[in-house]
Amino acid sequence: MSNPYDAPSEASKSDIVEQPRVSTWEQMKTTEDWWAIWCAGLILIVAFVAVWISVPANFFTAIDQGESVSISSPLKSWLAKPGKWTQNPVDAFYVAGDKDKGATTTYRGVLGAFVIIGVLFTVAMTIRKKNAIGFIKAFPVIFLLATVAYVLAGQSVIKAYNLEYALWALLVGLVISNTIGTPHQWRPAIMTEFFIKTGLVLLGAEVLMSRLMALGIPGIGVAWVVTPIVLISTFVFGQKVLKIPSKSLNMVISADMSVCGVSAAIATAASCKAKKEELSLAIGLSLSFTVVMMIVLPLAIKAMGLPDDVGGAWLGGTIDATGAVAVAGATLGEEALEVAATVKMIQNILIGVTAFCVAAYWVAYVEKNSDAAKPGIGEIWYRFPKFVLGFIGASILFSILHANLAGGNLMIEAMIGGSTKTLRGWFFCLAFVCIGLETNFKQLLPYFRGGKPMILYVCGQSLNLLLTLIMAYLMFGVLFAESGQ
Amino acid sequence: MSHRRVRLMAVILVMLVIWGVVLPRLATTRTVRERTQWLEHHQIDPAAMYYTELPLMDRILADE
Repeated sequence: MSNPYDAPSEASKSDIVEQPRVSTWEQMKTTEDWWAIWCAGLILIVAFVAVWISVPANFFTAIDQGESVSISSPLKSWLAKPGKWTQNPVDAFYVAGDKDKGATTTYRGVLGAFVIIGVLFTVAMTIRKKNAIGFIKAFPVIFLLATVAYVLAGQSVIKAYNLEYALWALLVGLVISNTIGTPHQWRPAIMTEFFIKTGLVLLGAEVLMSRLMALGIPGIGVAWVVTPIVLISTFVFGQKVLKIPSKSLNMVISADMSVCGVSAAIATAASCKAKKEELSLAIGLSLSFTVVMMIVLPLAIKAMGLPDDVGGAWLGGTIDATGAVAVAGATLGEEALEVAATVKMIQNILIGVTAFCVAAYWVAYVEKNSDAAKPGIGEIWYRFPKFVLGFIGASILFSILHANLAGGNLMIEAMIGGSTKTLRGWFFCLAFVCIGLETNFKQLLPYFRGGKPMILYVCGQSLNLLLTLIMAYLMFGVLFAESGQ
Repeated sequence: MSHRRVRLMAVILVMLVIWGVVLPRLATTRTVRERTQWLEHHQIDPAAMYYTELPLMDRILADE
């Protein structure tokens, strides 16, 4: 993503062309994109090896014999985020046990995440010849703010109404930047893009292609046919009809509305180098409409008398946030819940393809000068955001291991659940705190003029609702009515 | 104390009242308690950002 203080996009485009060329080898040693891959790659290797060496001696024999086996990551107790609380925020870190249940401890895992991210990034900053000392001094403060955001998000009422930590992390940063101003000493640890890109490469390991056929062709029809049509149509509508000046804002809103909310917004924003406030705006829009749709859509489905599987597929294909899809599905019943959650999971996997295609489209068509010829392969490679390769590479590698390695599915799931998912959450939370710290409310105001982002979202979501309903009915209600699951 | 610090303290105070008093009280209401229990029963984390954060996916995928 670009800096919020950048000049308008046209100026930055020409800057990109005029920058002195650096060889790929040199980029690998210094640039943020490559270091995001190295840092996340190291985490993934350590996390996988930790699970691999800790499996019980009879694990592979038990798998061969088709026995049920349960494994977990040995890193799990050392990596955590603050938990859920209702009355006392201390419960987010420690809840005393009783005779029925042991104590719940997260403070050790929070400290573990702090140490791992702090050490990893300090080493990266040192090797990249950046201000590592400044980072060491400022990082504890930024991490503390991210912890506060997680605690705010963990309150049970907040949690129950789909208000994700991204919102509270932004709020925490915004409160500081818009009151006392962000202290200069914190700047070395405000590394929004580095945190986001590292988190995205870790997310790649969760994009498991083997999940694609979980619902067969009906699931693919709803999640992978309608979604790209809506994404592209909304982007074109924003450019040709609404004439939204910022293509990146247009793309981020189109992606978060059509794919899967905040996670898609993060991935797309990084791929098309959107400004930080554009990402904030897109996420704000998405979360606001998600809360409304989570309540209204199940009522509409009941009023229309749609079958549960058709209704579930409609919910899964249209509501942005994964958690909200599950809530809406559960209000209709168990079958709708399962179909909705699975369709959303299949749509989640589209993030990787979306990020890659958006990055390729941006370097090939959007970033080139209007009077220049189409850039060649070398130029596209040079400008391509390399972290996307790490994201896709992690997805392919772990999809292969998940599908082909004996017990691979159990090991990958233990790795994700026990370590990488938690660290990915911390990276995103840190990134949103940094975005808040770098954003002034005045910078957000121009984006609201004319209400174009809102109109774009409403029009795109209307198209999404219509096309998804048609496809869900066609797939689950007509063509595969008997074998929908 | 400067205006900026006063503004920060005011916002922190508002947040402390909301998260320290209002939300904990709301959580004790019957509606919210029932909703929380219902979510726990269905193994739903409404704030899940990605499918790997949904506890119920383990059950759904295991059934397939």
